[in-house]
Amino acid sequence: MEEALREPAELLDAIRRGDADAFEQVARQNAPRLFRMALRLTGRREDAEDLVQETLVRALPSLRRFEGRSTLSTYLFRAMGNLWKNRLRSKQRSRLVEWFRAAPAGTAATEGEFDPRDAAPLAPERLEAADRASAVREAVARLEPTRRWTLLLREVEEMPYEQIAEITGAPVGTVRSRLARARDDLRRLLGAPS
Amino acid sequence: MSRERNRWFQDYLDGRLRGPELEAAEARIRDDPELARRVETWSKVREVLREPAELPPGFYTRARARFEASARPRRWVGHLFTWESAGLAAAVALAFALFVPELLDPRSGPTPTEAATPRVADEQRPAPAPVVEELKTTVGKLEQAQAGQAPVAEDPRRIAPAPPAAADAAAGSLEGAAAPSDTGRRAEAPAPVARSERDLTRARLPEEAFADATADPRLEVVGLTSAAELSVELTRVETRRAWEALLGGENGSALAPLGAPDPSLRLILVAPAGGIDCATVSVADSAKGYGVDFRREPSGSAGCAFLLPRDGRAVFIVPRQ
Repeated sequence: MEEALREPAELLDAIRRGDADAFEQVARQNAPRLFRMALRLTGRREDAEDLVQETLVRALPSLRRFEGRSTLSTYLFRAMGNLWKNRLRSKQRSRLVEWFRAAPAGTAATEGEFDPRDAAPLAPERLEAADRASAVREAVARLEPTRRWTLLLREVEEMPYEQIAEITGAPVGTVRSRLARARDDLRRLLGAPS
Repeated sequence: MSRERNRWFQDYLDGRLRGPELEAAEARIRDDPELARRVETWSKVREVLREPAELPPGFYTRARARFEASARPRRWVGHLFTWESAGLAAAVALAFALFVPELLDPRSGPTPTEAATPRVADEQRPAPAPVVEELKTTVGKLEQAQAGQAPVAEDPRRIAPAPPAAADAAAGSLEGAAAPSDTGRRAEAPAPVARSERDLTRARLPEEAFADATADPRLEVVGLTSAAELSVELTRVETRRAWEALLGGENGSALAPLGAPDPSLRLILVAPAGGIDCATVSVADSAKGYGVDFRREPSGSAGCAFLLPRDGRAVFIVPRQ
C-alpha cells in the first residue's frame, strides 16, 4: 500500500536543477512499477521503455511540491496515462493506413489471406492453452483506451477506486462503471459466455 | 447479469467486501457455477496482467542520458550570464558576425525563393519525395474533374462509380488519365491543383484535415452528418502510376500484401474522423453496389485501404454508430 510522499524536497529541487544522480535515484524507485503498467498499455517493450522514460523526464522536473494529498506514484501514473493517451492520438494521425485486401465480389470470404469481416472474439480455449498470456494481452489491447487504463490500474496495480479516480480525473462512480464495462468487454473479447 | 448482481460481484472481485457481505458473496459464488466460472476467468486474467516485467538492460543508463539531454539547455542558459563565460559569449558573437555578414546588413532579407514559398507549419509540410508529389497531383486532378461533372446521386455518401472505360486509363499516363464520370462521359483534362499552405500528403494528414475536410479541396468528402460527427475521406487511386507511387512511398512496405498494381481493381481509402478499427471493416456486396461498414476506434488507425473490383458499381459508406 502506498504511503504518503516521503521524498525530501531537496531531492526534487536537485532534479529541477538538472541533477542526474537525483533523477536516477527517484527513477529507480518508481520505474519498475511504471514499466510493468506501460508494457500492459503498449504491448511492446520498446514502446513501454520510451513511455516510462519520457514520463520520468517530463514529470519529475515539473514536480513543484506536494501537500500530502497525493503520492509520487499517483502523480507519475497520472502523467504516464496522459502521455500515453496523447501519443495514441498522435499515432492515429501520423500512421496513415492499415492495408488489407477485400475479397472480390462474388468470392467466398474465406478465400485469400484476410477476411475483414472476422471481428469475432478470441476463442475461449485460448485461455486454457499455453498462449493464455497472449490471448489476454490481445484482448486488453482491443479495449477502448479509457476503459483499458482504468482496468489496468485496478488489475495490475490493485489500486483502490479512490486512487484510480485521482489518476484518471474521474469521480469514483465513473471509475466503478468504467471498470464494470471494461470487464464486460474483456470477457466478451475472451470469448467467455455472457 | 443484473446491475445489482454486477455491483456486488465487482466489489467482491475488487476486495471491497468485508465480514457478512463477503461471506454471503462467497456462498452465492459457491452455489452458482456461472459465477464460479467468472471468478476463475478473472483469476487467470489477473495472473497474466500481474506478471512481473523486467526492465530492459541499460534502462537507467538511457533514462539518465535522456534526462541529461533534456536538462542541458537549462544548465547552459544558467551559465551564460556568469562573469566567467562573458568573454566566451562575446567571442562567439563576434565569430558569428564575421562569418554570417547578412545578419549585420539591415537590407538583407529572405532570398527570392524563400519569399515566394509560403511558410507552413512543420506538421503540414509535405514530404519531398517525388512519388508522393505525383500521388497528390493525381488525387487533386481526379477531384478537379469531378467538380465539373453532373451532380452525383442524392445520397451524399454515394461515390460515383468508375465506368469500365476507366480501366483503360489505369494503364495510361498520368496526364492522359480520364477522370471517372457518372454520366459515362469522358471528362476533359483537369486543371492542375494549386498548391496551398495546407498542402497535404497522404503520409501526414494533420488533425485539422479530419476536423474540417470540406475546407481542403484535396479531400473527397463522402459523408458528413448534421452534427459533423463523421467526415469520411474516400479517395480513389485510379491509375497504375499513382498506385506505383504509393508503393514507392513510405507506406510501400505496408502495401506489399496488396500485390502489384492491378488495373482491374480500384484502391479505396477510408479515413473517418476519430480513427477506425480496420479489423472491423467489412465490404458487403449487394445489388446496389458495395457497402463499406466499419467501427470507429479512437486508438485505431488513421485510415484503412482496400481493393475493390473496377466494375462500375457504386460504393456506399455505412459506419456503425
